[in-house]
Amino acid sequence: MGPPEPEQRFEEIYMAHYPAVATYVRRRASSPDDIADVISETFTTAWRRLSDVPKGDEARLWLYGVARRVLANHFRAEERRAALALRLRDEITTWETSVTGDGLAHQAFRRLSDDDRELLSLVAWEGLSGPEIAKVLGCSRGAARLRLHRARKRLAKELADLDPDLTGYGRRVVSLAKGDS
Amino acid sequence: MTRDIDALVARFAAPPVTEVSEGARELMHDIMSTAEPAPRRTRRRLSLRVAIPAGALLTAAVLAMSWLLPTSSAVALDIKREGGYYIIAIKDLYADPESYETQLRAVGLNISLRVIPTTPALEGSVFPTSPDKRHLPEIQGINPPGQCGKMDGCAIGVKIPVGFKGTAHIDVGRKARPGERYESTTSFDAKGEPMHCVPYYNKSVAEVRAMLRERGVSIEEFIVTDPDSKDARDYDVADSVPDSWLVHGGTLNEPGSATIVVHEKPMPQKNIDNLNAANGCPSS
Repeated sequence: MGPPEPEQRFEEIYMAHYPAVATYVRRRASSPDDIADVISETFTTAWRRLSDVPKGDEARLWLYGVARRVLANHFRAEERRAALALRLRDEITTWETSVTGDGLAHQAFRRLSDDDRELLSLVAWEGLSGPEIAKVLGCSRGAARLRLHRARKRLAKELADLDPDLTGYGRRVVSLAKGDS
Repeated sequence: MTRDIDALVARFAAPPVTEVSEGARELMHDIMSTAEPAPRRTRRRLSLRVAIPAGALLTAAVLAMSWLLPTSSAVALDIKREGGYYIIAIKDLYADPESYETQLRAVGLNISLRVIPTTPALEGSVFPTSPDKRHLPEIQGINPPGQCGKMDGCAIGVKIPVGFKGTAHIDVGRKARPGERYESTTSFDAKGEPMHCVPYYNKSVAEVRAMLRERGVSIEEFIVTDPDSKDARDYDVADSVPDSWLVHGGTLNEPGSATIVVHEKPMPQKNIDNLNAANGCPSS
């Protein structure tokens, strides 16, 4: 029945990128309801703006960018909580909630600004490169690189404040904290 | 040089989601069927339905009738075998889809059925599809004799050939309750819709707002799309636009609430003629 229908394209995007998007959201939202809402809102946006979704793996970066904005707006938009994702909501309640509260290091991480945490997470959790981060954040590559460097440095400083004995975290952390990197 | 920091941060990551679960698939289908579609989708859906002759079109009236019957038992469907067909009447429009499916399976049909709230033109529509989303003409609505003022028929039931061995999903349109979003909608000038044959094309937003108000409809949002653009996907969504802009079309989202398509520029007379011809309305 004619050229690829929107349904088909959406299904391809969804099946290819759902795990990545769900992982991204799961690592950033806390309650199962929030996770389900943000996933649902992210893909609803993709559906409504299907023609804006880039092809190939760039779609994943685009979806991260949408999910990031949804997360940022989410708690101001409670009334938009839809009756979607009912079964997903139930499934999510069975997900392990444990994020290793890695003692002081985690505490240091929590002390960072949202922006810093996001930059570090995009690298360490999503495995993105500098140019990819620039795409998700909608900034230039140079800006992404600089902001990432500063975020790493601030985390190292937070760590140093909490735990002057940084040897457990590796030499590079120590050198970053001392500012000679 | 920064690997240690990154490795440290990596430890705080919750485990990855590795599969598209049942719930995730369900969400995907929910989004495609319940989210307000982009304008391109509305148009496609419209043309798809218009292209399908009588076969696609029949279920609202069935619903309207069965709806009046007392639901004495917990049975959601009434299934009879007659002349090589299963004749199915929906006794409970609000039953859990699983209970429909259980009854259909009991007679050997691998068919799922949903009764969805739709815009008036699609109330009573029967829309059967295969798993790869093709329309299945062998499954039909049962239309009562007489006139039907709807775009997609006025079905009072569904009939399925006894030998049907495939897998199918059937959407049946019902009237929405107040405040309930339509899961399927079409242009608000289609047959059965409030603006059918109302000469509103190229009227100002202010004028059309008044026309809609007379019909109990208010404007929820605006889609701004240039009539000269070749790309139907090229549009913006706005909460408000100048009252002097011109209206090209619109869609109901739920009872009493519409999205309208507008632009500064008028739409060409040729398009207006085509729309009037397609809708069976006199040219304006």
